[in-house]
Amino acid sequence: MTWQWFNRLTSPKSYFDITDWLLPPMLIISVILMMVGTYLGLYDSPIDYQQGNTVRIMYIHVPTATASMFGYVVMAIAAAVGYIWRIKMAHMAALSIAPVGAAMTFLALVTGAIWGKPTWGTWWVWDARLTTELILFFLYVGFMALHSAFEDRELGDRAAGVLAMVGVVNVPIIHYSVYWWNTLHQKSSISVAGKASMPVEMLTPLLLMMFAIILFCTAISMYRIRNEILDRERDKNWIKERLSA
Amino acid sequence: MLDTHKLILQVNKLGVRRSERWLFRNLDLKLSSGEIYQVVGQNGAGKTSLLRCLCGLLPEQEGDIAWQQDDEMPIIPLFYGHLPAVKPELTVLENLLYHPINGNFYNGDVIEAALHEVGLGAYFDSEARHLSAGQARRVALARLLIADSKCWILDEPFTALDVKGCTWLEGIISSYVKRGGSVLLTSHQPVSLDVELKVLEIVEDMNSHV
Amino acid sequence: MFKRLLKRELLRQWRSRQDVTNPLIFFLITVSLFPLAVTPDGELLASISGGIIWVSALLAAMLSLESMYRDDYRDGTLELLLLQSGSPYLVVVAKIISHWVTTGIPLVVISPVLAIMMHLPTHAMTALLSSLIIGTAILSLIGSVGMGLTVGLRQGGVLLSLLVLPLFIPVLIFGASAVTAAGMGLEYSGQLAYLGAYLAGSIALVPLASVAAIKISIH
Repeated sequence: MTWQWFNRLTSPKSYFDITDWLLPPMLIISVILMMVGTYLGLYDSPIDYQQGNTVRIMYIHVPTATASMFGYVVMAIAAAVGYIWRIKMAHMAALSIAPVGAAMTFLALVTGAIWGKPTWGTWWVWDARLTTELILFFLYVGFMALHSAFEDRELGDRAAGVLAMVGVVNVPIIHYSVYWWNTLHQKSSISVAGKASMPVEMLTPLLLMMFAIILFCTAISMYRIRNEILDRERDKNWIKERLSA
Repeated sequence: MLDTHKLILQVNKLGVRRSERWLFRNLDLKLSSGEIYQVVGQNGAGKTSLLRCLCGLLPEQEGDIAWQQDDEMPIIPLFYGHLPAVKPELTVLENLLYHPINGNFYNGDVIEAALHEVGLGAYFDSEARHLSAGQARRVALARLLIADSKCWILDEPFTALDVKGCTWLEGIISSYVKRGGSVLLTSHQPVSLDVELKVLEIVEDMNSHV
Repeated sequence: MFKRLLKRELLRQWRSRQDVTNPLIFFLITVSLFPLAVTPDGELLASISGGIIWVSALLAAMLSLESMYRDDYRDGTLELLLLQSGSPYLVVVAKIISHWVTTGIPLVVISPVLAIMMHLPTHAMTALLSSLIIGTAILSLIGSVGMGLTVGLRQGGVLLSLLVLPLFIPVLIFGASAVTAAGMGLEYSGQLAYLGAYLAGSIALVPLASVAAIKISIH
């Protein structure tokens, strides 16, 4: 009985029906929250006494970095589910999340550089978080590149799935080793992440932006899954009906 | 070898998918010892895919494949496929010494006898890169003779064999089947054996076929 | 059974000997390029020698990863080994060990020569050898998974680097740092312990992942 229910949940058709009404409000809410968060962050919150106004980039940098790491884990879990239980939707989900996660990683790198320039005088620093983001970017790109190298998409799904599973085990290891490497060579004591305790006026926009960006990424990924479904299942009748309606 | 009519392989509702297309679905098959099936179908229908799937090279998408047990060990079919599986930098003898068959490695005498039988007696120590395509295939065929296998799965085994070779192979297959072995094969050329040859035709939905 | 599989791999590598010597030469040349490109100043070279030797060893070992599965894939023996050996994991382990023995170990053996060229202090030699031995083994392991995934692809070579290198970064960090620390007279056992742990983890997981990867590639 529950198997039937689960099957219906993971069927492309019911996914389409659910996301028809779920996604537009999701997207709108996330954009609104982002606007509120950005306003609060850029205008309303206090300035950091050491870094001045440049700390405001943190409100974009930290959420995007968090989203990128979160995204990789979700992608890896989806790929694993698809590989082990052979659920096509799970593979499609992993594939859809990948570019979104990669874009978030890229944004984190760029905002990190923008943060770095006024703070340390250079466009790039080998700070622990930025370096981990860089490696994460390579992992995302590797996933997408491997998948697109296969002519048979479903084979590519499985291959990329193996890669994601191997990669996700490595992510905490990479994270740890980069931090360790960084402490070896740390010259300045300012950490990009900011101080451990943050006043509420800074914390609120930060958390808001984190939530908003993750919600936004989720909505975008879910839209991408819809596209993926349209592409892969294009011969199915229910799709033909939809498109002609 | 085996008592005849012992079930070797049971396939239920097998469906195989390739390049995002179902090649066939709902395929049922029961293979017993002493039986031989020829798999037929159009080009691209999925004959090779079926054989590879039964060997475990292609993960099936739906249905199940149940190789039966013999002495508590699952039966491993001997697969003879499109590529002869001969390493050019090893000699003919080494090729057979160092590649396992049916989970076992075999030693000199058995291999030499088999090589004589396929007509490669003079080539023991030649590197396989010096062989012609037909000769390379004979090395692979020698594997059939060496191993003590319950089931042969042959994909276009007559390719690159001359007329004498084809006749010889047909004889080998017939005597194997009479001894109780089971065979699944595909072939573009007509096959004439002196045992009953059953036919399995592949169409897209095997249900409608039954 | 395993011995025979191993012997097969070693025999195969022996017959194509040039595949074994190429990475060594590459290693030699690459390391030599650095002083030419940067500076012959001994002190400066010594401080970065650990890193340079490690990166060059990594790249050289990666060059030869192709030989692990590609030839066997092309002539159908990979399928045969997987199907007929009764244990695909043994096949993979035999291949990894033979790759390490024919590529990794020669690199390690040659590395003291390069260390001298790079003015690495002699008391760091043990650190160099021990870290590289473990490091090259790990590379053979990780490379096996990457190679398994890309063996059937046309542009496999470049993609292989993209897949393997990020996973190898922690090993690189700790391995090179072990050598550099030893050069400065510092403790480096922590780094070695880390490498050992990574090696143990890889030994446990890699055969599984490699077999899964190969099964996808020989589809």
